[in-house]
Amino acid sequence: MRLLPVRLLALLLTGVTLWGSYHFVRYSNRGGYQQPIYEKFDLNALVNRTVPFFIVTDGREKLAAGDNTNALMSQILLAARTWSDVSTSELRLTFGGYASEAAGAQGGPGIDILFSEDVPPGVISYAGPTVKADADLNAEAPFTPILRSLVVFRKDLTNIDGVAYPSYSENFFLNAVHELGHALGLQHTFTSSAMSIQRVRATTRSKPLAADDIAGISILYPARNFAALFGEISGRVTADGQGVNLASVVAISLNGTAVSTLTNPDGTYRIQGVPPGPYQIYVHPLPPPVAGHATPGDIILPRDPENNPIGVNNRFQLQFYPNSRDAQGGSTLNLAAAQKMTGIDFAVVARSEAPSLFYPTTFSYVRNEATGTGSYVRPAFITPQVSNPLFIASGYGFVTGESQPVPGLRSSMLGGAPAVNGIRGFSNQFVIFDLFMSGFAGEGERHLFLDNGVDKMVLPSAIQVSNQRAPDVVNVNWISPASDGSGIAEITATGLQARTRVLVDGEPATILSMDASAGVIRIAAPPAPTGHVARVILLNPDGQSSLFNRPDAPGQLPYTEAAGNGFSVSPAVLTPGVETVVELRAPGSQLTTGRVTVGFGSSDVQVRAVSVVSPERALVSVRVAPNAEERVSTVTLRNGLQHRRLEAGMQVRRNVALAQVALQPNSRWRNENGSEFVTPGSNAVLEVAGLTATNVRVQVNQQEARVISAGEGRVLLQVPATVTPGWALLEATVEGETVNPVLVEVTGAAPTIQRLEGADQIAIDSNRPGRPGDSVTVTFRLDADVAVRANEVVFELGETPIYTIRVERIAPGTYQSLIALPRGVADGNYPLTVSVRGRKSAPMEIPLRNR
Amino acid sequence: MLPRLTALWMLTALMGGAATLEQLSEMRLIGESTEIVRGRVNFCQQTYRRPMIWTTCEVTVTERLKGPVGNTVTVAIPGGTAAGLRQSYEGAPALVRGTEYLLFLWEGKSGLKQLMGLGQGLFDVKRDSAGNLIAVRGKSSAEMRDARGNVVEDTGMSLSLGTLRQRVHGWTRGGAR
Repeated sequence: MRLLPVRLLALLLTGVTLWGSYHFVRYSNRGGYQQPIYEKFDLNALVNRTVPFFIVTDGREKLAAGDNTNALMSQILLAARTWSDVSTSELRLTFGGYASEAAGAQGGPGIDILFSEDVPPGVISYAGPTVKADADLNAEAPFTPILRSLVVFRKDLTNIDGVAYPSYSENFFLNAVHELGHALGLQHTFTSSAMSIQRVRATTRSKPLAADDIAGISILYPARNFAALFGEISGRVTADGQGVNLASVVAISLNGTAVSTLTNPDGTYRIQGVPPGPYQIYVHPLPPPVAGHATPGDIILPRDPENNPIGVNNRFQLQFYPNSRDAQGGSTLNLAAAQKMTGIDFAVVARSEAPSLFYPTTFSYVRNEATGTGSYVRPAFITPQVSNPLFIASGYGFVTGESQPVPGLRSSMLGGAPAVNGIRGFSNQFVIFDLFMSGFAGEGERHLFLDNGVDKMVLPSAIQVSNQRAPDVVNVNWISPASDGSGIAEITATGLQARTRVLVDGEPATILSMDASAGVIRIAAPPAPTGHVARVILLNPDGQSSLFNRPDAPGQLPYTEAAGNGFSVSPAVLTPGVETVVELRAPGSQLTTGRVTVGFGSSDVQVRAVSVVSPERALVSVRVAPNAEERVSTVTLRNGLQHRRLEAGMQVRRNVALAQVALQPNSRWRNENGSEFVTPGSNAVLEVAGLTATNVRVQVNQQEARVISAGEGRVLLQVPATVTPGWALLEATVEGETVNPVLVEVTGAAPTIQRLEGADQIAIDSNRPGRPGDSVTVTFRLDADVAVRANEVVFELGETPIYTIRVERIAPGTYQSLIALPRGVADGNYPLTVSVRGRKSAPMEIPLRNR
Repeated sequence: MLPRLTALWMLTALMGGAATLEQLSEMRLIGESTEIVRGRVNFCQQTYRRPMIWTTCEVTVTERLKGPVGNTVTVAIPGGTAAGLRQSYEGAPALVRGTEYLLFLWEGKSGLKQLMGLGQGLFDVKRDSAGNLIAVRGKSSAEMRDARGNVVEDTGMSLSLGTLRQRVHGWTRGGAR
């Protein structure tokens, strides 16, 4: 059966809402254009719903002066963590270790990150997914599983048009975030987000993802709270009554948020993941291809059921909803959480030409008074460091070859402030936009509207206004050496804010104390190899970083103390189809929960849990795929900035003679009462497939557990009351023979909220109530010291879920979350709760007052 | 007063795309390529060389401006469908069978001859109003614009083949100018 013609479908489907398509999309005969089929990882086929990524390198990258492989890899890991920590996405990423060669599609689900000498001049990196070409498109809820993704970086990073590309730079990191986004199934958007092309991207190290990125990843891998936290907007875009394919529809808010989608072939669209608030909606055509692009907007075109690409219609004019070419004539729509706003239709004006106005890029010049130097930063930040508030811009359709604005060029900021006072010529095909900053211009992102007389366009987040200077690292010194277990460093700095964060290369540092007015921060620095010189970067919540002041000379932290290098693993042989515990011993190390990852360089051997038992010892529960091939692989132990490799450290071998190996305890034990929470002292049911014997002994963390009954595939036991919550080693013997040990989770008490703070780090209470729309820092404790991801933590205000921006472990068992209080909440006192992996805290009352 | 932009390499050096690109000047295209050929595409096929799928196109060489002698050259472009798999890379251009191109190629360690800077090394061959051969970048001149938004034959690079021959000759004799 052939798919219905687009025109006919458009008539039939009026009013039907569809998913967005800034992903890799195909359509089927079964679903037609009503059901885009995305390419994405099948989370149910993954251990812990986690995609492993592997770094393929021989360690011979050519790096910028002072850069090194450990620093480079830490930035890749940070980029992966950026996606992994999106709280409304189920997807997680984990470092699967180093590999000598890319596994390719046969290697099982995963991402190969390759540093290659086979990248031609002019290309820095590229990425994309691999899927089965003939995937089943007629399943009930179809998607095309990504078998493997590939990210390729050039090996020589010393010479990008004559300039080095250090791994600490904003560009390298944001580039890595972008390429990993492609590897996970995201395509380009036109909202200045991480997934926008580089010249219009407005994300920074401090804010590496925009709302559109969070929506994009959450649509593919939605967490349970996704639909409840965000709203959606749907409708249809037509020209002369016919659907417009691949029109970009954007919901944009004056507070800086922009979320978008691309229309389906019949013109229908659905923008999901829109934070609650007031929005204008506009539709714009995709830019024509420019050098280095193969299609309009540099989009991989969606495919019809016969696998033919469906072309772009970009021959129409920008339009604000409902029917205006200017923002002033557009309507503002208020969207609530979980609301599905439908019928937002556009009848656009067709034209014969593709757009002439596109891809503006903006910069501002930041001067560092301390050093007397300055640098251009992108996107343009308007701060006290920018004298005569202005920014420079270049792009297609508004600058002449003589670096003057095209005659009649008009511009403004959506919302009116700050006002654009004038546009004047500059150089190198850049022009200057002079701004008038009234006292009412608040902080945040501003969207630029441009009109060259023929075309109009919007650049979301063209400038970012902040009343604060960018942070600047003046000095970094050790207070106690890295080798003594504490590794405390003191940073002297300017421009600190209450929520300033610290990166040591790509590792977030734990802030022990901060005196913003005195300009002093003390951090617990991550472990690093002896001789490593780390770059220290400060990140402010307004998006600025210390790299704005010293892009080429960030603060340095040299690690001079001797640190251990070697480690051993036991056992060193694994069997397909079996989960077991591998012990790692790393003499001279400072292994720390949350900083340790272990990888075996293969999707066949995946780590399900890591328990740091002591600074020199960790237990790793490893699951080997039943169809794993026999192989020898490198074991990677990452601890902070230390990446240690044990070449040929692990072997997968079939036909290993282990008497009771078939008796595999299921690591997901359950409470006798059916709950998934197994607490100390409770009765737990442990499933052991094939178990018939009754003579069973069980130890939990080397404490004897009382076996209440055994046989028929299960063991009922009482967990020792003195076992510490967290990962525990479960060892069992059946008829005197040892079966494979596994790590099981002993649940502690429910989390407890300890403190609520506003942006000024002052406690929220009845005298200083929180304000709807603000972000709040919540400190909570667990009695288990475990690594916690943002998508494992759910905050609720009464019954209303709250968006979790970030979760950090600040001390053993102590965590801080940054959450966004919902807008539109009436004044009053509300119960705030936090749930971690389903365990819900007692409520803490939070007073809220609107401004 | 704002400093001039000469040190602002990032403005022009980095381009957008799924691939992150650096912009290649004409002299870099000439100097860093291993072959420059004008030719017509005979056929394209797709092969899986783990972990990459490559679309390889055989081109009959009508003129060789740089590189070793040969009547044909095989160009490799990342992505495609092979061995039951499909790989997608934004920015990877598609060569059309029977079409004549000017190709700036680079041969890496793998022995594959790739386009310089993905689409940056791919030019259409046309004749100008005087009947001279020119190479313009972009598949569709109707969709390529200059910085003023005007429709142009090229987004930033249009090469007279006669001038290009002289420059390549000059480069091979005396290095980059």
